[in-house]
Amino acid sequence: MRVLVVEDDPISAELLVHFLEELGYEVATASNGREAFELIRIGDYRIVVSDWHMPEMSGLELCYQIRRRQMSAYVYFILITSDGDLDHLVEGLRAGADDYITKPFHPDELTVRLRTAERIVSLESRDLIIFSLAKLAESRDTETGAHLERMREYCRLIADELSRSARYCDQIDADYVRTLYLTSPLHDIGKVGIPDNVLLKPGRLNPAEFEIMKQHALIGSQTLEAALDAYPSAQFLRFARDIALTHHERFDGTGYPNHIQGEAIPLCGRIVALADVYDALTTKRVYKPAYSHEKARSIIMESSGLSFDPNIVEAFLNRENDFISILRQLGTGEAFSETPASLVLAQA
Amino acid sequence: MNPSDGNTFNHDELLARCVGRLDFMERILNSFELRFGEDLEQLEEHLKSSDADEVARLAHKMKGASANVAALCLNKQVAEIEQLARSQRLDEIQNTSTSFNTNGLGFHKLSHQLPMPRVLMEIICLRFHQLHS
Repeated sequence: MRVLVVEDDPISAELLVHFLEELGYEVATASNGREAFELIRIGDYRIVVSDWHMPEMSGLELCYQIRRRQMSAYVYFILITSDGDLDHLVEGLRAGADDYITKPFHPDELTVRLRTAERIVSLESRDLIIFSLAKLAESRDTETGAHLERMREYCRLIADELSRSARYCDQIDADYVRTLYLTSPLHDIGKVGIPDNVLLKPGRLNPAEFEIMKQHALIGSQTLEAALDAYPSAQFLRFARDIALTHHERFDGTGYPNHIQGEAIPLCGRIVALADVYDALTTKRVYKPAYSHEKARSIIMESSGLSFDPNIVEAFLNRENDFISILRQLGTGEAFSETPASLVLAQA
Repeated sequence: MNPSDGNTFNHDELLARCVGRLDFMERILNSFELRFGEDLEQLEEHLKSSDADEVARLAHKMKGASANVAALCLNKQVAEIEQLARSQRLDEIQNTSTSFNTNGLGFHKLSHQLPMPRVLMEIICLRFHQLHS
């Protein structure tokens, strides 16, 4: 497991790094909070051991920044400081630190606290299982590339934007965003039940084949419903079931499988619908080349109130620069081209 | 706070923190000696310019480093300096500095209170013992 040590005193940093490496951790260092935040943002650090007082950005501020930003995975934060009084302890934990250690560190104490951190972080293995299931589904659909990774990032952006509005702030909290991020990759899990001759057909589906393809929404939701029956306390399965069932419903009621409309479609399904179509538009598929962001934007705007919830289209427009960044970062780098939009909206 | 009082440095504590690696411990102590000397010079500069915030910040950093290398005597001294600086009592730090001077241990020479040669000698003796036992 990778650990990030944040410490401005090189001797203390060296001692910590040596000790952690001896325990078997892969360790990186940063000399202040700002540098650490950049490493955490682009890297995969699940445990951070940070000093409190540092130049540029303190450990306390770093902790606030991490908790404020929804990271793709939980970051377990241990503050380590010379200030051992109760006031500092409370302030540190209030900032979102998971643990608090006073200098000098005691080898046995630090060891057990790190093992605790590992236990907490490993609870997220559930997330990996879910993502692996979705990858399994995607593995049969050879042209979608990093579709799942992009999708969940797009979903998170939309949800995050909606959570800032008065209309949705009560409904969408950090847990909602995280659950959506976690379960949106399961939207097409039902495709494992679609025959190869339809799923992998290298071209446009005929009406009969398209009817078969549409079954994936029901197959997916029924599979997740069965899992939910067995584990009713697993709320994320309820979320995943709703997404699998409703991500092809349209705001005007002309979608499938149940032709529900407007806000009768669960919010998570409405969010995933836009994210799914945006990704279908901007990447190459067997039935179309990749479109530019501008063309995808235009198609989505034209479909506001028809295919998509206008509030979600507005959220998309507010965050379109972030969409472009994700597309650039996780996209396939294909050349853009033009194909009738109706074809994409029908088969996405 | 006399280096000869036996409470200046806890060899076993630092060795445990170094996972029993004497060579690493030696390297850490050498780095600490060098760094601590530089920090002391800076501390003196901040004291001269009566910059209490900087004195407190630097003393805090030195407190953490000295605690980690188990330099107990130094740790207590810089902790005291930090507290005085935080309560804007720089004059008392100057007095502390003066008292060092009075004792023939100028503030600049505080680092010489570190029983480093003794520590390093211990390490060398231990290693020699290990090699020949």
